[in-house]
Amino acid sequence: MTLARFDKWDWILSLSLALVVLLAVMLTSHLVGLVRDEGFYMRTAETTADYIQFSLDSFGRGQFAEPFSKRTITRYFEFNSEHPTFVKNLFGLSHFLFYKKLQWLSFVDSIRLVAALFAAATAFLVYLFGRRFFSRMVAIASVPLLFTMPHIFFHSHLACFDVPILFFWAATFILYAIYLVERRAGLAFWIAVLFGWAMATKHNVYFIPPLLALLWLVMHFLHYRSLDARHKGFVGFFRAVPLPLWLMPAVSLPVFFLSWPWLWYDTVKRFGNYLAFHTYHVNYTNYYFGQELSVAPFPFSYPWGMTFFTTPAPQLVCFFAAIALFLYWLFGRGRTPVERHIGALLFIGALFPIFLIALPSVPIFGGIKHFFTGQPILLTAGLAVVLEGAAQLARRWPKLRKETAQGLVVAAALFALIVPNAKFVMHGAGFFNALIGGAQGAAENYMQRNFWGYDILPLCPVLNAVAPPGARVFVMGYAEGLNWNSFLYLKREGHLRNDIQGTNELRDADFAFFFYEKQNESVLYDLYREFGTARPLELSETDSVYFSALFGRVK
Amino acid sequence: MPARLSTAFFILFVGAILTTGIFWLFLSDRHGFTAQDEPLIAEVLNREFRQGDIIFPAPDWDIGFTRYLRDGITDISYTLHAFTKEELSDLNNNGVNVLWFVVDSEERWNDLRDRLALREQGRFPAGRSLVIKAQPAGDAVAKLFDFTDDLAQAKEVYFADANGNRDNCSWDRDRWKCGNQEWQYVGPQRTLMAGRWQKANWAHPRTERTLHVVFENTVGATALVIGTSFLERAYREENGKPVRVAVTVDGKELLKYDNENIKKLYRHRIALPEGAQMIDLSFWVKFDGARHFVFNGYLGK
Repeated sequence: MTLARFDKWDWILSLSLALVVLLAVMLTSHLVGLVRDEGFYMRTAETTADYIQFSLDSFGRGQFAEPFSKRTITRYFEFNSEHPTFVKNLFGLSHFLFYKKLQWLSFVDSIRLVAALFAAATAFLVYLFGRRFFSRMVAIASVPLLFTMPHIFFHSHLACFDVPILFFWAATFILYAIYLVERRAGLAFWIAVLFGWAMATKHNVYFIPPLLALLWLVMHFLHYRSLDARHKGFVGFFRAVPLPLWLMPAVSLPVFFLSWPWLWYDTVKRFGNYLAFHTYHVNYTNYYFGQELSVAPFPFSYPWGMTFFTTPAPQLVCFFAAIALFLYWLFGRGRTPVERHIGALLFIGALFPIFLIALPSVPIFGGIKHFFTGQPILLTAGLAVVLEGAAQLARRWPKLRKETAQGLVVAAALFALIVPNAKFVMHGAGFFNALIGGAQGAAENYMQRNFWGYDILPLCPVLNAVAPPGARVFVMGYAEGLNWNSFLYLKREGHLRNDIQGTNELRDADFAFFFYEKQNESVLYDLYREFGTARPLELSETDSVYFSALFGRVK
Repeated sequence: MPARLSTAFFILFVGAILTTGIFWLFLSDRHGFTAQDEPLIAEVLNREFRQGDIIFPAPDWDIGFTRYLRDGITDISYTLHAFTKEELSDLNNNGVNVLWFVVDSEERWNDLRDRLALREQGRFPAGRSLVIKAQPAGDAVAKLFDFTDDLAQAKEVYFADANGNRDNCSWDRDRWKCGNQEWQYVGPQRTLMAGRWQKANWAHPRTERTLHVVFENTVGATALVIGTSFLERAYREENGKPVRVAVTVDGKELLKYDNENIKKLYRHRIALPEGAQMIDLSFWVKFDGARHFVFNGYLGK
C-alpha cells in the first residue's frame, strides 16, 4: 500500500475547507440553544478563565508556585472534576482571550469556538485521510458530506466533548494507519501526544491501546512467516511492536496527567473517583421504537438502529461501502500484511464505538453522540468506493471525464442534503433520515427526538414579549430540561430578559418551557392541570412534529 | 475492490440521493394536521368538550390544534398507542364521559377503530381532519363502582403491620390521609400507568406494612377489574422492590401477584362469588424507597 503525497495544494485546500467549516459552525451558533451539558462546561470555562487570570496575577506578584499549589488547584478545578480538563482548559483559555480580554466574541461563542475549531480540525483530518489513502476528489468531497450530516453539524456547535473526542478517536486510528505504512518515528510521537490529549478529553479512547495491541498481536502471528528475521523470536517480538504502542504509556500518560491539574494532588483517590463515576454512570432514559430504555439490559440493536436511521441516506450508503472496503482489504486475495492490518484497524476504528454501546450492560446516556466517533472514517473510505464506482461507469463514456462524473454526483448529493440540513439546523439532534420517514416517521415510531433542553431559542422571543417584569418560568430542570447554568447563560447571552426568573416548581411558575421527551410526558400533563390550559403560547416544530413548547398560566 | 462492487455502491448512492431529494422536498411533511384544519378542530372541541371527556389526538406528535383550544380543556392524552382495547374500555364511564379522537385522515381513524374496537357516535369534519366522538365497543364489564371516582366511599383504608397493628387513614377533602409525609396518602389523580394516561389512585406502600383499601359491595357487583403499576420514577429506579398485590373477598383471597419493578400495567379481571360483600385490596412492599405506586379499577357486572 502506498500513500499519496500531501502537497502544497493539499495544504491550501484542506485548510480552506477547515476554515469554511469553522465559519459555517460559528455563523450558525446563534441558532442552536444551550444544551444541559453546556451549562456545566461553560461554568467550568469561567472558572478556568478565572484560574488563568489568577495565575497571571500571581506571576505578576512573583508568586510563581501559587497557581500550582494544592489550594489553588482544588479551588479552580474541583467543579466538574468527574471529567478531565483538556478541552475544558481550551474552553477557559478561549473564553479568557476572546470574551474577557479582547471582547471579540459573545460569552457563549467564546467557549463554543473551541468546538468549532475541533470541527475544523476534523475537516482537515478527513481531508488528510481521503487524500493520502484515496484521491484528492475523495478528500475534498468528504468534508462537506461529513458536515451535512445533521447530527455532526449540530454537535459541532456545542461546548461539549463530543466533537473533540470524535476528532481524537478518528485521528488516532487514521494516523496510526499512516504510521503502519510509513513507520516514521516523528509520527509515532505525535500519535502518542494526540492520544494523551484524547485521554484528557474523554474516556472513550481508553479502549484504543488494548484494541491496537490486540490487533497487532493477531496480525503479528498471522503473518509470522512473512516477517523480517529481525522481528522473529523473543527479542524480535518486542522489536516488532509498533512504536506508538511503546510511546502511549511513555508519552500519552504524562500528557494526560499534565493536562489535568486536578490529578496533581491526591492522585490515586481523585483518579479512582473519576473512574468510579464513569463505571457507575447513570443511564438517561431513551426511547427506541416505542421501547423505554431506562434500565439495563438494553437492546443490542440500539446504536446500530440509531446509526441506520439518523444518517442521511447518501452517507449511509458510504458507511456500508466503507465496511465492504475494509473487509476487502482484510480478506481480499493478494493483499499485503500491512493492507490487512489497516483493513482490520479501520474496521475496528469505525465500528467499535457502536459495538461498545450495543453491549446490553453499557448505559445509554446521550444518544448517537456517544457512538458517532468512527463516522469520519466510514464516510471517507465509503465515499472513495462510491466515487470509484462513478469512475468505473464514466469509463464507458470516453467523452465524460472521471473527475466530472465524480464532481457531478457529489454536487447532486450536497444539493439533496440542503433541505434536511436547513430543516434541522436548530434540531440537529432530532434528525432522522428518509428511511424511517423523517421527523414524522421517527415520531410515529416513538424514537427519541429531543434531549436536554436545547430547543429553546424559538420560545425565548415570545416569553420576552409576554412575560410581565419578574415573571417566573418553569425550566424543567429535574426532567432533563435546562439546567440552571444554561438558563443563566441564556439570559447573559441576551436570549432571555434579565428580569425573568427560573423555577423548577410548576406551582410557582407563571410560564413553563416544555421540552418534549416521551419519558417526560407526565410533565406535560401536570403542566396542563396546573396552568389550566393546554394552549401553548409558542411551539417549536419541524415538519409539523413539535419539539418544545412555551405555556402560560391562566389559573 | 472489485469494480462490480464499487459500481453497485455508486448506483446505491445515486438512489440514495434521489430518495433524499424527493423525500425532503415533497414527502417529509405529508401527515399531521394542516394549518387550515387546526382552528377547525379546536372549534369543534371548544364547543363539544365537557369536563371528564378525554381527547386523543392521532398523530400525537402534532399538537398544533391546541394553540386554538379554550382554557380549561386539559384532558388530552398522547398515549393512545399504548392502550389495548380492554384497557381503553376501562376508561368508559358508562358513556357519561366522551372519548374524542382527533385524526388527520379517514384512514387513520379506520385503523384506530378496528384496533381498539371503537363505536363511532358522532363525526365532525374539520377540513381534511376529523373529530370523532366514540366509545369502546368491546365486551366491557358494566361499571357500577369505580375505585377512583368513588374512593371516598371506601369502607376503610389503613396500614397494618405483621402483628395486626393498624394505622388508620382518614378522608381529608379529596384523599385518604395516612401520615404526615407528603406521599403518605391514598388519593385519585390522573397519571401515566405504564405509558397510558388515566385516572388512578396514588397508593405508595410502606416498608413491611400492608396497605388495605376496603370497599363494600353495595352495588351487587359480580366482577372486579383491577389495574396496578409503578410510576416512572419508581420503575426507573434499579433494584426497586416489587409490590405484592392481593384481592381478598369476604376473607377469601381470590387474586395475588407481585407487581414487578418494571414498566407494565398489570390488569386483572376476576369474577366475584355470589353475594360478595367486603372487598379488600391490599398492597405490601419489602422496602418503600421510591415506590410510587398506583391502582385503579372497578366493580361491575
